[in-house]
Parts: sequence; structure tokens; C-alpha cells
Amino acid sequence: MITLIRIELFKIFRKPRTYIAFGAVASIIWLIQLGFWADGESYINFGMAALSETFDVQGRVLNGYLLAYIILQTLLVHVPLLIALVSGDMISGEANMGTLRLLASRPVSRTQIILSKFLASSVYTLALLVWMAVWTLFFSLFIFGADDMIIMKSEVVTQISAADAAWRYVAAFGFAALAMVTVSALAFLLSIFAENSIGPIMATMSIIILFTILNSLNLPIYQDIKPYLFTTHMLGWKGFFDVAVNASNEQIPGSVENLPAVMRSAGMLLLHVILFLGASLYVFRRKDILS
Amino acid sequence: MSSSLDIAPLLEVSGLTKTYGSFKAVDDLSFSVFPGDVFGFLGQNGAGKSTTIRMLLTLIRPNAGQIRVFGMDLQQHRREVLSRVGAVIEKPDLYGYLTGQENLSLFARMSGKGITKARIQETLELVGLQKRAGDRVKTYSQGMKQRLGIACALVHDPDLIILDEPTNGLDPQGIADIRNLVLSLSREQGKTFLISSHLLAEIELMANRMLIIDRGRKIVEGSVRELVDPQDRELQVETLDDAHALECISHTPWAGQLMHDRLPQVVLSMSHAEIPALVDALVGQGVRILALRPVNRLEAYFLSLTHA
Repeated sequence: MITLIRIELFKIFRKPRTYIAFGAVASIIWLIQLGFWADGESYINFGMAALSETFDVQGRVLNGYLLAYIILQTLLVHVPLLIALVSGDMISGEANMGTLRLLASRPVSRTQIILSKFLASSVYTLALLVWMAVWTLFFSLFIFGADDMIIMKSEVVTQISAADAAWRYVAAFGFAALAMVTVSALAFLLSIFAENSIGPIMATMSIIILFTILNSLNLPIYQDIKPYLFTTHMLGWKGFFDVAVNASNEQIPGSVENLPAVMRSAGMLLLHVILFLGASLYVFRRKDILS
Repeated sequence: MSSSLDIAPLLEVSGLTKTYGSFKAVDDLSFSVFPGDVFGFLGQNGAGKSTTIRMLLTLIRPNAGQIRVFGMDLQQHRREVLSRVGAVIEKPDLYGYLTGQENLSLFARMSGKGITKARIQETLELVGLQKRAGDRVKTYSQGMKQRLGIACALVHDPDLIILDEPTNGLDPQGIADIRNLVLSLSREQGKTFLISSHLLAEIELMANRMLIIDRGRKIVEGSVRELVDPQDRELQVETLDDAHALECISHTPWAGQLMHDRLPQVVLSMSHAEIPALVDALVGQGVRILALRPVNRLEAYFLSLTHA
């Protein structure tokens, strides 16, 4: 099994399209950092105008932690496409190249083929997240420095001390990794049904867009299904930036306001991964390979 | 190449059936391949050859029938059987972004046999690709890809090698190279081959036994020597006036050997020994002969299937 995973990883990382995602992530992050480096102060001042009228805000509001938050919010919406680019190609790409029949006629079981490919695509997903984390957090902190982090939501302003921010990012990236593995598992499942990678990539994105739209529609008819859509839980990483307060309304460092909700979302994502992977195994083990 | 019906078959297919809806791609097919055979698997395009081969490699599930390889049931001993089988299925598509050596190494590792680098080099040399082994496969010609595909099938030293249309898209030199490789592996290493093709001539040159299928059903199975007997072939007589030639033949002892299904062509079923007497008789009656062409009976039979 280890040999198979290594073979799959070798194939993934020798394929030029794999590096499109790494290049795209680095480019987008670099462009955002450049933009904020050039015009960030005025942008932040504009955003803080109302707040500054009431409060005396001191220190570096535009710092590495805040920028990392902004980048994460922007990027995690688009990363699924980059994930689908590789995961949606895992089986369909082999079918398209005509190599699937070679793989499936080797003395390895179809279960091993699926598991090794899925694990390899998950490693790719995690590698992309680590790459994103390094560019987002490390370089943002390097360029803009570290300070307390101020997050403005519709009715709430949260201030997180610099010392309390780093672990939240680790947790947020860990959660995001699970969300992206879910997308990867969906794209992987869809790739079993196709003989070229365009279909699974488009289908994955269409499902994500459709579910995201359903999430944003506050219509009673859709309320009941929302908790079961994996897209509902994909943004659960934001929960790590909601800090619990004590009876005196003071923040409790190292706390999460609604940790059970975050864990529930993680559980739902994990359940989806298991469902998608289980379906992949079921379909592929019975599939006639005609490509 | 040796086959004997008193030894156990290496591959035994019985009652194999595959249907897609109401279409029977393979219909109750049975045949046997013996150790050391170069077994030709012949049929027109769409006859069910590839479907059968895919079932032999567990790529497609049969609806009925049994496949036994090396004395084991394929479904129950899939892994054990496939570790001793090498195959090229249709055109050998490989990973174009990897080099030839990387492709070969990758499939060697999947065999689970601990293939050494020396064995990989040896296999590359066997198929004549050692000089281009470091180049990406997308830069290879069709013939080179075919040879690399065969290398992938051979690298783990299998006992049974299945080649599906191995000479498709190859130039005459490439076809000859593949043929020579098959024959040398069969003679020198005793490898057993199952080779599918829609070209009878190709199978005649390589195989010792063959099977012809049409519309998924077995038409004929046997030794090539028996099925393609050069001593008992049909002979086409080309003349300036075929009608006159037919009239003349009707008054000779060969009248009963005229192939009426080939009329108005003058085709007779006869042995080589009878030819001089026939020519003398026709020339004696003023028939002007342009050419005498041996007609391969099996080929004619095969072509009649193709045209059916």
C-alpha cells in the first residue's frame, strides 16, 4: 500500500498541472500582500472610520494576523477549484490517458487503487494548504509584523491578542484542510464516472456553487437541508476566531466561543469524506473498465 | 512452441458471456491455451476480442462463465494470477509526462516482485529502448510506445503474456520487430502468448494455435498448421475468358472441386500436386491463363465473416 501511495504521489508531483495550484495560490497571496503594502493603511482607515469615532485605536491594525485572516476569507472560496483540478483527474485522467486499464490489470486490488489514489490526493491537498499557510501567515507576518488582531463582523468587533492568534491559525488551517479534503473526496468520487477530467472538475464546482447559493438563501424550504450540506460547514474555521468571554464580558485567552459547533461542523465534514470515499470504493470495485 | 492436449491448459475459458443490455458482446465462449503456445485470437473489429481480453484481466466482469489461469480460478485468485500475467491492452497508453524508464519502473514496482534496476535495464534493452529510456514518453513514436508497453508487460517476467492488437499502427519494420520478439521469447524462454488481431496473416506468422471468433461466438479453434494447410488450399485461376475456363473445367475430373460460392471467379479446391495437370488440361483446350493464385481457405473463410 505504501508503495502504491508513493507511486501516486510521484505521478501527482511529476504532473505539470499540479503546480498550477501552487503558482496560483502564491500569486494571489502575493498580489493581496502587495496591494495592502501599497494602499493598506488608507483601506484600513476607511474600514475603521466609524470605530475610530468611538474608540481610540492604537497600534498596528494592519498587521500580519489581520491580513492572513483577510487572505483566508478570500482564498478559501476559490481553493476548491484548485483542489478539484487534481482530485477530479485522479481516475478520469487515467481513463483518458488509457492507463487505468494498465493499473487495474496489475496484481493490486481495486480497493488499494482507490485508497492509494485518495490518500495521495489528500496529501496534495494538505501540501497545498501548508503552502498557503506559509505564504499567508509567514510572509504576512514578515512584511506587516505581528500585533493584536481586530476582526469586524456585522455587529461585533473582536480583538484577539497577538499571543492568542497564532494557535487559532493553526487550528483554522487544520479545519480548512478537512474542508478541502471533503472537496477532494467529492471530486475524486465524480472522477470515477468520467473519462476526462473536465467533467468532474466542473461538476464539483457546480455542486459547491449550488450548495453555497442554497446556504445563502434564507428561505424556509431550504432551512432543513442546510445542516446536511457540506458547504454549510466549510467555513467553520472562522469559529476559531470567535473568542469566549467571561461573566464580566472579558475575553478568555485560548478559548473558542462555540467549540461544539466547530467540532460538529468538523464531524459533518468528516462524515462527508467517509461517505464520498465509501461511494468511490463501491462504484469502482464494480466498474467495468472500458477506457 | 508446443502444445499438447494431454497437458493441462495454462488458460482455460469456459462458457464466458458478457452482455450489455440485450447485446451479447461475448457469447458462451470457450477455449484453452496451453503452456508454450503462441495463441492467435482472431476476429474482425467488434467481434468481442478486446472484451474477452478485458475479462481475462479482470477489467470487465463476465455475466457467466469461468476463467482458470495456471489452474486457479481467476476471480478467487486474482492477485496471484495477475502477478504472473503481463498484458498490453489495445494501444499501450502510458504516462506521457514521465520518461520511458520511469514508466517501466512504476509498473515494475506495482508487480510487487521487487524488480531490480538491472532487470529494468535488461527489459529496456530487450525491446531496444535503452537509448531513449530517459526521454519523456510523449516524444515517442507509436512504435516506441508499443515497445515500451510490451516492456511493461514483460518486466516482471510473467508466464502468460496477453497482447491485444500489438502491431496496430506500426510500420512494417515495427511489425517485424514485435513478431521477432514474440517468437524469440516463445522459443528461448518458453513464454506463453495470447495475441489478438484482426489480421490473419500476422497470426499465421506468429501463432501455433488460433481461435477465430465472430459476434462474440467461437467459430473455429485449432492448430494453425491444420487450419491453414498449404497442401490443401483453394486455387484461383485467372484467365482471359473465365466463362470459357469454367466450361472447360466442367468436363474435367476437377469439375466437382469447383467452388460454386466463388463464381463467376474460377476457384478450385485442390492440392499442389494436381496443379500441373489442371494447367495442361486448360491450356490444351485453348484457355489462356493469366495467373494461378493460391487462396488461403481460412483467409477466405475469415473474409467471408468480415463481409457478412
